[in-house]
Amino acid sequence: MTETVIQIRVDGTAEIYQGGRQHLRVLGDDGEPRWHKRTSQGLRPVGNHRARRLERIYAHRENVKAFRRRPRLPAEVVAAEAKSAYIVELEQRAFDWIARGHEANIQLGRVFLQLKDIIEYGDWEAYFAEKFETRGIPLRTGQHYMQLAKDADAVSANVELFPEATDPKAQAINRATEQASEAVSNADPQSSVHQASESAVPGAEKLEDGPRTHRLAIRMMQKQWSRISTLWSSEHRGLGEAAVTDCLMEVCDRCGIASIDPQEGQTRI
Amino acid sequence: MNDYRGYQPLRPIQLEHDFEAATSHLEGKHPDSTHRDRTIDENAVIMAPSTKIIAALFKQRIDPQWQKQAFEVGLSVNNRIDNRPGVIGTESLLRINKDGTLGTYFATANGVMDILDDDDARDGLFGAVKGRGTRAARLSPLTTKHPEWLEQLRKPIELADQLYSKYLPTPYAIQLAEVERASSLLRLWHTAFSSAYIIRNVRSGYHRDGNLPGVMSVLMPFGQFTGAELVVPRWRIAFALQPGDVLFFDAEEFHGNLPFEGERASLICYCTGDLSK
Repeated sequence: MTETVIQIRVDGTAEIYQGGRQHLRVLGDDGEPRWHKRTSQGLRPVGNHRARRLERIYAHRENVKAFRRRPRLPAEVVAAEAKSAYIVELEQRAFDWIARGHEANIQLGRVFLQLKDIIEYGDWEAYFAEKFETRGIPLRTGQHYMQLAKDADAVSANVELFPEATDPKAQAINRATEQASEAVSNADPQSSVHQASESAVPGAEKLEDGPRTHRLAIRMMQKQWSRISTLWSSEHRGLGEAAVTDCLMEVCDRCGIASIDPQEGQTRI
Repeated sequence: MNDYRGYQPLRPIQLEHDFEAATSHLEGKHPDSTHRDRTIDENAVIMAPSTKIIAALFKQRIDPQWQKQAFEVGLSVNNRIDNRPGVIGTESLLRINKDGTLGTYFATANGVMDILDDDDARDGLFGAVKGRGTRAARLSPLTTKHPEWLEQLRKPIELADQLYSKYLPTPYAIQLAEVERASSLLRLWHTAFSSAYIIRNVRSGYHRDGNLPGVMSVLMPFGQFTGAELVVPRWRIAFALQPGDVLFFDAEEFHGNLPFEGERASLICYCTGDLSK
């Protein structure tokens, strides 16, 4: 650093950087200022000539650029920061456990509500005392949990809180989607793949009993999903589609679900 | 603009109600300003009624120079968004062949794509792409084609990673464990993120992102715009986001944007699921 800069510290001492060297001004026992320079062997007193020049700079310090050095943190501050960070961590753990507890209370309240519906009228309190008070949950606490569950479900189930968006962009996209959806429902259901064996004439009359695509959403385990994905990307996909359709038809029959006969317009099972 | 480097304390905000049961029908629908009871526009940590942390918003944290670089990437990506109907707020429909018959593939309707093209809506994915079926996760083609674009996003992503590790240590630890288990190629530098998705000029519908569960995604908007608050209907809150802001939230909850005016790009960083398969 070629520039001369000065800092007056809070304890009244001063430091001047000049010519790349740090000089410290401290008051001696006699009240007179002493100037030291920092060397590789520590602080050493400066010569009289240098001391007079530094003292002159100090006396006219308003003409020198001031700087402020960030104080090194004392051990107490470092320890306090670590302590507060640890408190935050512990608080986070506590919040997590409270969260689990609160959710559990609401779920327990829901179960109590279901039980109360099943237990015969008038028997509830005795039943509760026998089953749950012995487990450390008094009736009043159980009632509180049930109220929590009621409140949570009552507020959250109000679908009217979320009406359709009315801004032009959303409406334009909705309109485009509706038009496309209508076009799909009016389109010839015979896909080009299925038409291969038949005479495919563009704009040909729509066959009522032609093949259609049903987009099924079926829940399953991850392993099953992986296997089926492999099957669907293989050449055996057609076999799979036929098997699934047959299987679902059997389920329809078992459940007594009727179908409309497109030829006669009658219901058949 | 505030000093983006200055320390700004987070204000804890605890929500009172959970509207999950009323939001199940919202997938693909567009957010509306009536879907929120509260707009958050300050440094805040948001807690569910159960006190679980669901989001954290940091205002004005990204250096303007980094914002500019990231926005340039947002303007450069050029992928048509025809494979994310939920994000656009539409549905995937069977394609109609030229001969008028139904095709066998599902796609976003042409009319919707025309609207998006008018808005110059585009997206681009950097980093890991989720594996499907037995196929393992892999690097996105854009990452290998334009590594310099990803490099331009590096500073904001690393900043987000620092904020994530400092303020949300629990989900960060889960996410970090996941990316460390996977190949180092599928990780964005030394962060806990595997992927960075940038999307331009899209007013999104309600959707879930389907990433690694139990962690948070980070959203950083860039550009010059007004509006585009991010609505999370389950909690009936909206986040008023401006360029320079950093939002951590659970992208597995429904979320979407309100309409906006101007040019806007959003950078979303996350850890994809099934990364180490």
